[in-house]
Amino acid sequence: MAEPKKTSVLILSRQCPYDGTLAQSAVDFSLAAAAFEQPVSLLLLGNGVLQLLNGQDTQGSSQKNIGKRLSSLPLYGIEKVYVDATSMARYDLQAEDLLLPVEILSDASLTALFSDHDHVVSF
Amino acid sequence: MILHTISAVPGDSCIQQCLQVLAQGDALLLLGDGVYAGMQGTLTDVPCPIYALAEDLSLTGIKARLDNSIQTISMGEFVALTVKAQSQVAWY
Repeated sequence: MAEPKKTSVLILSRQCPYDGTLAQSAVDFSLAAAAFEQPVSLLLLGNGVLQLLNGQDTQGSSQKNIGKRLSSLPLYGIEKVYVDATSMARYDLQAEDLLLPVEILSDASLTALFSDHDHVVSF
Repeated sequence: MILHTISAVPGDSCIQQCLQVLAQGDALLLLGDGVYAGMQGTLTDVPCPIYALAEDLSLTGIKARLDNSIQTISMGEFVALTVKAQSQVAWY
């Protein structure tokens, strides 16, 4: 049987980490897409950058630690994690405040990122 | 061409984020509560064509206040736009 065509997917995650379930769903979706060996990129935009903050502690809470889940992404073959420079600046964040090595993108590079992928899934 | 759809009200941060990534060759469609962003003077400096879904404009009663740079489209034309687009990004 022919190898199915690979489709690149950009996952757009825009929500704060513990506000509702959308941020967790974006991680679930990323892992599922990677399991099917599709090329996956994750873009944390706006409040989404807060999901990558170091030092999240969910002990004593019923929430899953989204920071830990995100830091496991490279193990599943998801190496391309992006954030936008505007939101990093808004929250006064530097690369060392984040728990994963990420690429920080200007607005012009963001625009190119969207057109470089076959699909965009927005959370 | 990427089709961006906005269904959030003006003031929601996702509208600013959408404007951040829009490219000249893209298309922007306002639907649902997103049509309120089509009122005169609400969206400025948009680099691509803006469309609004006719049935949502009727529903909300803002037809007369719609910015004249915005083109009204039917559900069928919305489908045609999705066919033409390389991908679709939902901002909600």
